[in-house]
Amino acid sequence: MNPFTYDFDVVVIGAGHAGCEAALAAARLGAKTALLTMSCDMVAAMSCNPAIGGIAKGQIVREIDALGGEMGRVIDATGIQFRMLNRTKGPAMHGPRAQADKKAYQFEMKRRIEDQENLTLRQEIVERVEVTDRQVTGVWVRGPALYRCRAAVLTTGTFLQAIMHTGEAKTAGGRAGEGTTNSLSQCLTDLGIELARFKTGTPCRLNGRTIDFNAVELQPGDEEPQPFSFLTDKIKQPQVPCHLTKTNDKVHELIRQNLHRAPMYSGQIQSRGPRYCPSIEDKVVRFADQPSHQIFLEPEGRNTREYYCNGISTSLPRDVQEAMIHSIVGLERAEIMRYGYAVEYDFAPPTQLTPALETKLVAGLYFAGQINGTTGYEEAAGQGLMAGCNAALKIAGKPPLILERSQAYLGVMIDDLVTKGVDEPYRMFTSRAEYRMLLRHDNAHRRLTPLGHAAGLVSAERWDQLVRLEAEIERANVLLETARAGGIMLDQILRRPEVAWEQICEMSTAAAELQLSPRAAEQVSIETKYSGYLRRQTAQIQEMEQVQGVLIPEHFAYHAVPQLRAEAKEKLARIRPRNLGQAARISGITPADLAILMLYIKEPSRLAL
Amino acid sequence: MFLLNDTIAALASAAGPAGRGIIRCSGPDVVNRLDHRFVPRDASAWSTCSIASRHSGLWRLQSTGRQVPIDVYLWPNRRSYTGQPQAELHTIGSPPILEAILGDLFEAGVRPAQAGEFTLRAFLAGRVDLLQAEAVLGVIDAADHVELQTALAQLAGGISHRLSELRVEFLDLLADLEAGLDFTEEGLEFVSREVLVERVISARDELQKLLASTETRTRHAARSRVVIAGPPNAGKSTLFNALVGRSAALVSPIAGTTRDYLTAEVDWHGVPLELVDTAGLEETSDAILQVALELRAGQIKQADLILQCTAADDVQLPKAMANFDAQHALHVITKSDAAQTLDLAENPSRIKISALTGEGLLSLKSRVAELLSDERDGETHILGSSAARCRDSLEHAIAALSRAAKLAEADGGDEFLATDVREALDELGKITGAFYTDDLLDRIFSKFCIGK
Repeated sequence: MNPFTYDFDVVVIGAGHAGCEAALAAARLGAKTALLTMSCDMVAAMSCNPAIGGIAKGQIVREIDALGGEMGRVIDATGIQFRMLNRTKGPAMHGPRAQADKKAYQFEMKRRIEDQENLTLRQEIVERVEVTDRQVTGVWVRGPALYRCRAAVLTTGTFLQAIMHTGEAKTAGGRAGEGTTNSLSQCLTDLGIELARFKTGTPCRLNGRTIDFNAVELQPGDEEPQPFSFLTDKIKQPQVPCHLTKTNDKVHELIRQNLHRAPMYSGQIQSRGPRYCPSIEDKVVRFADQPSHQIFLEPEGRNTREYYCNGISTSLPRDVQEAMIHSIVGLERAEIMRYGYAVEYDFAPPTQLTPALETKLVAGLYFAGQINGTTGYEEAAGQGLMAGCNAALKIAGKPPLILERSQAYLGVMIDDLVTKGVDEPYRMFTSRAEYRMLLRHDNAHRRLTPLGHAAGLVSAERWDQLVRLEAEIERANVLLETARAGGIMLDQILRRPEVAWEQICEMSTAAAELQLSPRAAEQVSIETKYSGYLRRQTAQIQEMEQVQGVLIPEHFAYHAVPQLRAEAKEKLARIRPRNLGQAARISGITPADLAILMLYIKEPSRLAL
Repeated sequence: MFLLNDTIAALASAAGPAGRGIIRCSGPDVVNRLDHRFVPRDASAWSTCSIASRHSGLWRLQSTGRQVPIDVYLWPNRRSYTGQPQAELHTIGSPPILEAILGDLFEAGVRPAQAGEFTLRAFLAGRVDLLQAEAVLGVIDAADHVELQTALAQLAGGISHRLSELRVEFLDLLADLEAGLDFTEEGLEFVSREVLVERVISARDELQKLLASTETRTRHAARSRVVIAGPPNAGKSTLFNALVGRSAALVSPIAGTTRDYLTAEVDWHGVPLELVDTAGLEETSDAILQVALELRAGQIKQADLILQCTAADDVQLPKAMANFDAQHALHVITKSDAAQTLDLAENPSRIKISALTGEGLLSLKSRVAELLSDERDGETHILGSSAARCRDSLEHAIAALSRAAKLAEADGGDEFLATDVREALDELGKITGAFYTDDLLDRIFSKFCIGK
């Protein structure tokens, strides 16, 4: 029997946060795209906490939005509580965060995918990727059926050879109640792609009817909720509060007594989990002195009573989870709806990728999200957007869109992944970004929308809005540098910490007449107040550009450079940096290696081939 | 990491006293940078110079306010060795003066050159071919590392140890700051303002002390260090006195008389060196002696040459001869008068002396001078540059911490403070060659319970 065949340009495997953005980006660039998911009911599912954003993650959501991605608009439409974190610090540290209505978020994303031209959403179980001469030619699904394509984006999340652990009990599956994919792992290994294993975990969920909310602390949202998307004017929906409680001695004692039943400690789980998101058993062991740990009780939606217990991720057995919960203030009578579990899954060490997120081994095969060893919806969505975009650009015969570390958190993340690799699930922190004063959430559109526009990712509406904003800012800057009030230059006045743009307008009618929009006024004040630091970071970037600008040919023969040390040859050949700047960031590469490399880049004819 | 378009300088002549000292300087701003301190005799010829030419004049030393005569050879355009404006400063070959001039240049915004940087620029300008450039750069990887280590050892007194301690201190400080930036939702107690100010200031003061100590140390670094070592009563101090020509070391027949170490600066056959007498090699529980032994161990580590002494009448002599390692060492058989019958085979690294009769002393001196001048030629100028680079990094780190201290006192934002502390760490990393990102996260996660 002949299999069914379908013809597409790009096939995206997996419809999680990475897959959705990948498929939308590819389709928007004109590629005929299929988005394949094991279940059309699980599109953009939030497997772990019902929240988007946070410090550094919020910046990523804003960047995704600035590049025409969907995450920001979907959370704006469906969020149930919005908070700007780190508000007491400077603007570079502000991180927007929102609680999501999980189901509403999924439906909103699903509808946007269904509405997208060029994009087909279909329920399929993918068996393997078809490769001919080291080039992707199609994707086989159970049936059997073949999706012929020129590029495939793999966003498998935690579903590759996934095993869930709750105490001694082991179940195959990437998410509670769902299955796993084993044939894809085999297919990747057959293609020569190296796989490794990570672990992550999730806490139990409770029935809100059984929580004593009078006994726990209230955590309301911001009075003036800030949207994520530059296209959203205002968040209008009413907000829902979260609550706070904490663990205590009794809980810690219970955990200590049952440690031998925790898969991480009994040896049942060997793989590495993230240190910044440890299970409660890890916290109790590693920080034995700490008398209690916070627990955030977060609602999972408007139409459900289910609550997520943020802070006590665990893989302890059911009876211990039960006893633990009942020892916590406010949760004495709480009913568990879903037990916590740890999950182990395959990922592909991301040094096997180019900065375009394409595998070096197979042309047209792109990886995004947890398969690259990252964690977090935002990190996944950002990679998805870039991978989908680059897959479509490649098919169109255009160069890839690669963001620099100086341009975006997304640039920092992808550069870290492909240059340094990961030894624990990778999450974004602001401390990873050397130019973090410049990579603020408030200017993500000014940094990235022009690049998105050039690549064809952003709508006309978004582009026009930015052009108008830039014109406003330009007029204000000219005025600040030329006009005075009381004999003092306006920009000098605005530099004072206590002065806002409104005060400038009171002092200068010319400023008032500009009638700056709040967004333009915000940009002008931030850039004036922090100009010293911004200038210094800009100067550092310019210094770096000299080395960043020295491109290394894609198939440069490192082995033919006689003066390079063996270690340097091996590392450079494996990572294949695209320029001298990236080469310098590979651990163990010395300035002397770079100098020697530069000699041969400038005179490749002298290579000892 | 290197840049190609800023202005760099380094000592181009060999380190140590010589007839003439040369500093090379290259980059687009050469003329401007020199203008800070250089007073040409013919100012108009200098300011209008458009072809390669020599300009005589004076250099106003910032440190002393004194002026030294100097000849500046200027290539004002791209037609130079490095393909960019370039200058060579020729002056008296005195290490303190050369160092002061280099210091003035760094003050004026010139960057200390990395080893091989001039060659790299020359290659990129097409002035040297690949083979030549390679010959220089190929050895740098190993050499630069060794040179830096040597420079650090010579800047001495355990500076590298203190640097790594300081680096740890900075990392802790940065970890506290960064944890307070990235993990504010965790309900954790981070560092208080008062403690922060105190830590930044004490770190800066520590660096300042370190910098001051390197300034006095580099002067000594120009002299080779020759250490007299050996078991107790091997006649080390007697040899020291005989060589120095005065009774500097307390000499006694009781083993263990030399409890500290003694030094003397001497010139042998035109080679400036510092002679160091050490305590004997005995094991001891005496606390003071213990300190002396540690000092000695430090001296031996920093030695350019060790004079390993064994008395001719020592029963251990055959064993000592068998175990002797000729690497950077001469085996000196002392008290040759006490065992006239001793018959020693000819050997370039073994010398027989008697402080009593004066036998062998002259040949010991000339042999030492010969060995050291060979070694100095091999070292060339890089040592001086490495020391300058270390100091330059220290200065930048101090400046960054001063900004941080000011900011901390003014209650400025932690993210700005962190930027400055990072800069200080980067500078220390340039000396010790270590980067911090992973260290930093390790520190945060081991110190704070992160994980909402």
